Amino acid sequence: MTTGTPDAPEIMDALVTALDRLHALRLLASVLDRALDPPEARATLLAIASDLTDADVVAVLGPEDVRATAGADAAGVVERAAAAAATTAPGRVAVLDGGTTVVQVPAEPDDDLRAVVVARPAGPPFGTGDLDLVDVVVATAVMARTIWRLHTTAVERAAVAREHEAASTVAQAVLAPAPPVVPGLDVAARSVPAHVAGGDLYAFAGRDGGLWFAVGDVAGKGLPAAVVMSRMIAECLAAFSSVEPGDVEAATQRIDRAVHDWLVDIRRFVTLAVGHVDPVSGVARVCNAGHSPVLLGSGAHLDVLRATSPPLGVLPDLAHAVREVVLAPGDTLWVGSDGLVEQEDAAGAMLGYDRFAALCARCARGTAAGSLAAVLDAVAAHGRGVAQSDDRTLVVVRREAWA
Amino acid sequence: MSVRTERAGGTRRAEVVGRFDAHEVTQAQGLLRELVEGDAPVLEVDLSGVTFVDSSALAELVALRRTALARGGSFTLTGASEPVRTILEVTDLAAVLLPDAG
Repeated sequence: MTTGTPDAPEIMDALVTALDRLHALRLLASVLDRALDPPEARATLLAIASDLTDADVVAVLGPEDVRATAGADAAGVVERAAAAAATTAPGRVAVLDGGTTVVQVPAEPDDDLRAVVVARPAGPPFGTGDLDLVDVVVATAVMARTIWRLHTTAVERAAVAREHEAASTVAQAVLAPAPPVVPGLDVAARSVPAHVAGGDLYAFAGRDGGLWFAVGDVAGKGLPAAVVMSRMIAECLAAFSSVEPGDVEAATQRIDRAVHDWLVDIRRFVTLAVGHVDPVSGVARVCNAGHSPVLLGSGAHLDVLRATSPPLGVLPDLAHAVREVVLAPGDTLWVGSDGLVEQEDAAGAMLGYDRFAALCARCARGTAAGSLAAVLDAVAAHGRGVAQSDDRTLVVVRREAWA
Repeated sequence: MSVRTERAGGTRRAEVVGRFDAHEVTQAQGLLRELVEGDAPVLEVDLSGVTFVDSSALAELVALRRTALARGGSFTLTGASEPVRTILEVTDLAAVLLPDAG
């Protein structure tokens, strides 16, 4: 045996140590399998890190997870390490306590992962090889943190997407019925929900030869607005069938009384235009609680039927005034939603009330369904290249030209 | 959108700047509702920097007003720009929310 050359047992020890470390390094990958359970992932990480570096104290700073062998002064080590971490630049290492404590700060530290600490209070000091291992531990912790964040973001997105889907389903389910057939009137209705459904609603009833309609918009978006919307439709239908034919004021009053307190409780309001059209006389009566746009078109001329009261859910015990107009044969009632007039173009300009009215005047010929499609197409063309920010709803009631 | 709030004596002011819509309302709700806590809150909301309001934002303003009045306080909306005024008028909310209207 020659002095200065490692003997066989020493080589064997070194090999075993190297193989142990290789094994431990492989185990580190298992931390990533547990990344979706952060406390468990950190516990595994600390156990492996302590094996890898022969440390008596290992800690992840941020959650302050500490693993220490019995008798080691873990609290003192962690306290000194935290102070050092606070003054150490991201991506750098601080060595304390005569080399027996190593504090490594990741490149992008945050509250979940400020630093990783390994310590051997009783010595010996850590060598360069140990520092490389600490580097691997930190890299693993960073990867686990990234996986966890990607996962939670994906889960949140999926939950939001599911809610949007549910809101659209509610909207489609309650809005699907086609308007009733009322001889003497040509009626068309469509609602194009935005990606996050906006709570637009409409409801119809044909009764005693006349047409009842309601068009509204629930303030707010998503599932909560869709729930309010479906109840509003039910209240409208109940009112249509319980008041005297054409008594729009009583119908609106009834709907208002039924929902006011509830809307106040849930901090929402609903704009709602309620109307009745008698196809024989052409008399149309409309109560407009804060809804727009509502237009009466006669040839190229358009009258705005302005709001007669604020939206439902704003003031208690409202007196609902009725506006009465007469539809001549061929005249049209256009009841839209604000999503039509507020649609922006690629330059950020809203379509606006004036342009919307001009558009209705241009599309006043032909069938109600044809007019409706032409107006919705034109609004879609205005908003080309821009996300649809709100539902677009339009109801077209035309008195037949022969009526 | 940004909301800046301040308290001077019994008066609380909120200055809203930018688009005030459904998305932004969700962000600003907590901050705004704190302003009507306590007894007799006197709240002024300045909308002079607001370019657009939608119905969700209006619903929040209506609810803030209601809470302030119910607690014996007051609610004043100031600085409604032209687009904001248009929406307040078509919804007939100007008479409710603006002191000089109606």
